[in-house]
Amino acid sequence: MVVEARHLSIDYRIGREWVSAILDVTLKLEPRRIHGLVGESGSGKTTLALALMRYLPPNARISGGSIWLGDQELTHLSEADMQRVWGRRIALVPQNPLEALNPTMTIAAQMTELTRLHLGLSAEQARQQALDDLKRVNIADGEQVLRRYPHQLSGGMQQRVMIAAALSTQPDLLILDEPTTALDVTTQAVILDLIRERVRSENTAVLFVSHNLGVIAQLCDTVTVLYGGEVMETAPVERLFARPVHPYTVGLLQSIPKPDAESEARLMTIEGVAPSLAHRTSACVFADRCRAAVERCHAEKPPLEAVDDVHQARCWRWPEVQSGQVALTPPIATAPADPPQRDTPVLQVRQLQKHFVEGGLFDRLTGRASRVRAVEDVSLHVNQRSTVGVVGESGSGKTTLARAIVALDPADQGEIALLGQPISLTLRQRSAETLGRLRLVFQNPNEALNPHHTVGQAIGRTLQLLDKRRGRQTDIRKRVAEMLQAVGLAPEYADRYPSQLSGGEKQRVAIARAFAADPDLIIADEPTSALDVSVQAVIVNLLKDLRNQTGVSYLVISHDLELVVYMADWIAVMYLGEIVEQGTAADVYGIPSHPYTEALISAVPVPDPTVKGGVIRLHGDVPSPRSKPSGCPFHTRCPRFIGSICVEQVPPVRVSANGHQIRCHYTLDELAALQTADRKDAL
Amino acid sequence: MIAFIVRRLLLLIVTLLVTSALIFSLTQLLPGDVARLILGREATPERVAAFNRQYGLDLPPLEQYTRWLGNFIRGDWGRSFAAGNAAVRPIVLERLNNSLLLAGVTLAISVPVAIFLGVIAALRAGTWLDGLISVATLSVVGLPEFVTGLVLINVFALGLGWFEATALIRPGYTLGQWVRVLGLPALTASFVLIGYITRLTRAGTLEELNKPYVRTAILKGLPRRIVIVRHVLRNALLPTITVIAISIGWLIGGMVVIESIYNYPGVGGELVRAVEQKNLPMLQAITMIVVLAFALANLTADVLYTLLNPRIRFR
Amino acid sequence: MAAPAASPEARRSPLAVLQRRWWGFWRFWRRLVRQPLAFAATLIVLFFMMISIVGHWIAPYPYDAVQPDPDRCVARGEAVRCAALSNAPPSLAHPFGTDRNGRDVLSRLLYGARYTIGLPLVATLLSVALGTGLGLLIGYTGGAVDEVISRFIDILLSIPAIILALVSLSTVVPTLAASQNPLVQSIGPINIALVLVIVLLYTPIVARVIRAATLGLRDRGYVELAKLRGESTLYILLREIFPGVVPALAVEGALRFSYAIFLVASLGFLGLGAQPPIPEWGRMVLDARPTLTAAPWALWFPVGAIALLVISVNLMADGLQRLYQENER
Repeated sequence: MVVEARHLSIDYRIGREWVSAILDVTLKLEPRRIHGLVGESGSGKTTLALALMRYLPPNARISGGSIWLGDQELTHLSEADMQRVWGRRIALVPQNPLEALNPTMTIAAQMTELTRLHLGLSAEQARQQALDDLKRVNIADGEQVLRRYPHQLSGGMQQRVMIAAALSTQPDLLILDEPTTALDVTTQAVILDLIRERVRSENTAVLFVSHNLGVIAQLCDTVTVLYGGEVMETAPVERLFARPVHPYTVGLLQSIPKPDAESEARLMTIEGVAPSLAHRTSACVFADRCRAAVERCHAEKPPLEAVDDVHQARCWRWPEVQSGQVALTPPIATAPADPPQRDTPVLQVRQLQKHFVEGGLFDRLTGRASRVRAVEDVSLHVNQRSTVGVVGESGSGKTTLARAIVALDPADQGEIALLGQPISLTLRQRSAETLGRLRLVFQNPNEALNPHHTVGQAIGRTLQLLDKRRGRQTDIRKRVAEMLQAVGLAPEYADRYPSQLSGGEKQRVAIARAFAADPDLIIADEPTSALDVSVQAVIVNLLKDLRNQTGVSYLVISHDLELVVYMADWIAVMYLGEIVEQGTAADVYGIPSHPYTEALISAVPVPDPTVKGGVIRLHGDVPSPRSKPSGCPFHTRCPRFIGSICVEQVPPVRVSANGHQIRCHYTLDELAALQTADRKDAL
Repeated sequence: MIAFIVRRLLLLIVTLLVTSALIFSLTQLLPGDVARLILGREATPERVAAFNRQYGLDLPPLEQYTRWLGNFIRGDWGRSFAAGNAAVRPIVLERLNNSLLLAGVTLAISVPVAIFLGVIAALRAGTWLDGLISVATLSVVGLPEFVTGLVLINVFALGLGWFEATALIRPGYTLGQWVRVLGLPALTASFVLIGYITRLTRAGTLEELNKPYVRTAILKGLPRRIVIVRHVLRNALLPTITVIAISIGWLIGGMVVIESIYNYPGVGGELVRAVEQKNLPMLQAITMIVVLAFALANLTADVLYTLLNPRIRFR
Repeated sequence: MAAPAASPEARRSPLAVLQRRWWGFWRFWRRLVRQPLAFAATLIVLFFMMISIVGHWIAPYPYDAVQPDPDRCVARGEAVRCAALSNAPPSLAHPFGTDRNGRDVLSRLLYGARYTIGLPLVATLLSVALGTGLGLLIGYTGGAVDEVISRFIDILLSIPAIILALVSLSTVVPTLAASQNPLVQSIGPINIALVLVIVLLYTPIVARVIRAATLGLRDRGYVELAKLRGESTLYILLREIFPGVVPALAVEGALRFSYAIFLVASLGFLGLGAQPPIPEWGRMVLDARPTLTAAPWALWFPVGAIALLVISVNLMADGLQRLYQENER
């Protein structure tokens, strides 16, 4: 059955005014096809997805258009009628499965209430069907799972349960709203495989909402790009990624860091911030940020025009973009950088260890406290003017490592040296000079800025305490202005409070502050993961520019392998608190690599539909660092598991001539041989 | 689970020990001779000495405390300083009985009403009904009991004559007589309790209503009533258990004023009298009993909360 | 949320500059005005607070002066001696009537505000100050100190407040009364005792609330970054954490104020607080109870005043809470 939204518009009430959140959106969803809905935060993609189910927050209304489920029109149905549509004909799989499941009901109760309600099954039949449904999402021990409560399942398992429940009534439309965003990349790969395989076998139309272009490219058949609540472009996935005609789509695709890019190249960016919907004008909604905008774009909103029978775009200049007459890619300026100097390390970390003891006073007294081995035996060098990336999934200990280095959570054992001088593991014993040399940038700029201090106070205070030049108060104001200018913000920003800034602006301020004391090393913990792709590109460029200008080094912590490979020249891969592999970006991405790295690379969804992703999948959950597996910590999930040696013995570190290290029972040559053979098979 | 209960019991014992020590040291603050305060300025030194010997007040403080504690645990709660020198325990237990009766009736009235009002207010959040419930409960919750009590007496006892203004308890009351006697004190106590529990129930329900799992339930196509009853209330009422336990503590304390308005023969009234008479053995015994009752209520609530919450039960 | 975009001219207008400089205050004010009930309640509370300061001066009669009954006067030589104007109903001369001793009820209320409002206010401010300090410290330091103090607070809070108040009062008042200190005697032992009791009762409660708020802020990025630039603990507590706990503090302070009024009035009513002839409102209610039928005004005016005050404080606290909740979103 075909599901269609025709010229759908949604308004929100803000104060006394109605503000248009979704404007004139038309979508057509066909059975057995996955339609991607892609957009950045604030684009209205989730609002639109829920509106298709006619589910709106109390302060929203459908102000125009229609929704057709086959030949039934939904916008005029009563709530009682909608209750026969919800769950039966349209089902939703939301973003965060743990929050979307009722914490005090068993999985069985939550799955069977749906089938009992809509299919009229008896309790016994419903239970039987739940088992079958779970089997279809590759859960073998369904009996076990049904008895559980949501918090007892892993994230991937929870999401499988959600998918199984959503498909249990064989709905006409399945809406997946960022279903893998809360999951690790290796788990995401498994879930995406499952969606791909299950959807094709059902007679269901699928709307897949995501901000992740890689996931869209790998999964969807057709794609709609949403911006400011309006459709910018719709096309089959290969077409959209290969020959986009809307400047926004072009910008979005080019702002993704690609691992094979020249590491000194800058990313293309989309300047400016997302539009405020409170001021929808007659202009093109993207005009303010568009590189191709002309006078007409600011005066008149373009219609959604057909490029051909499968491809539409909302742009006055799409024919020129298509024919290449408009240059959307600015000349890429890169400051010539000195190549990383290998032999003078800024930071040396030797055999660092950090264990946490969990539990309160009582547990400690009774010996019931458990030990979390968060970081173990980690050694790492950061050379001058270089960027070192640390990659790992949740629970890998990468953030603990960063916090141990800056001494927020002091390490238990090991040595840290800065510019060759050993420094204390605890914060109190570090001198102001050390603090100034070693700075930290947080993942979430909202966390990093005190909402009660102005930007000027935030940067000024750091200058006052740590700047080697230690100026007077008036000088500090001048220096703050300089710092702001260096990150591309006007000096007036000094008087603003964080709540008056956008996410990207906040992160710039956080970076300005990190640079305030003229540091030698900046540790950046997921510096862009709270930001949209287009803003991420701006920050990544800024970090590169600042490195070239000041000669600082970076230690970048991230879960995003692609980003790290793009930014860093040396990469360390962590799993359960240990570095399992480190080497140059090329070495880590190439052959041989650690079986875990191999799986990680294989799991990353490539933002190009013509490149099929890898096939290596990790099954089972990441073991808890509380009960770390013996021998090689990866042995429980390793696709290249050898045998009892992996369980019983800690693997040795294999080092190649150029310093590439892999911690595995296989030798480098053996790994290279295995992996080359597998790649040939795949081709 | 067993470890949890053992742990809570240990905490309870510590609580009682600290409380008794605290109360005991407070009484040690009393200036000069307790005996003189009790017997009057004109008492002869011989009588004072005899009084001190009788109550062990001539011993060092620490010994007084350990002796008192030992006796208390063994069931000997000492003898009253007041006229008659009656044994403390039977008096306290009888009064406690009456207070528990009143507390029970109050809870039976207020908990269902409060939960009902709180849930309704949350479901109708932002409407006039919610506003009305909010303002009414807010107004009632902070009013001293003597204010509500006096209004109730004037309306229902002196005005309409439905209830008794003073609560004398005699054996062999019929149900009707019980209602006439207990009605006003219980109603007065219910006012504050209803205000308190309603507000917290509303807040709890509202918080749950905004959680994503409620959207999941609605989008399953379940009727609203089932979404509320099966999904929301199960979670929203969990914290209410703790709230009720806390309000039991309040109830026992609040009884002090209520019992004094209605001359109700409970622990509260006895406590006020003990304070006025500087009757230390009575004071200590009542305090210990009240703290014990409160601690037990909290313990029960914690255990119940744990049992009903799978997130804690299967950690 | 980002500030709404505006044209460069609009950004420089005086109003816009004011809005930017006093961003927090501006939003606070606009939201307060949008809650008429809480706004009105706040005005009433401020009015009562004013009364507690100026009540002595604006009262028409002294609080303990027995009013003469002009109809029952006997001339004895030069002097005219009048009988007391007991239980007189409200009139122009005595808008709230007189009590059984012939004292003007309005004057007594105006005088008494100092005890029923002023004393709880002072006590609340003290416990808020102490509790905030303690809460910030144990919340931020954590560890064994926090564990021990928190457990102790838990235990203290497991004794019903009024019982702790009764026991403390019964021991503190005689101790103070025995003191020869002229300052103690001039303030009045009972007043000092009441303030002490409230501080003893509410400091741990405030401390616990502030501790919880501090725990929520302690691990925020900006606090950790402050540590990383070598700030002292004092700076972190006062400049980084304290502004963040102000909302919790304001709401809790208002609530504590309400409960302190409650406690003082209740103790007065039990006859254990302020002693005659001090016209504390709870005590006035107790004293007027026997003459309920003869002089209902002597009972209902203080009862009404207490009710209005307490309800207003509660509505104000609730308004503050809503305000800050809105702010968080």
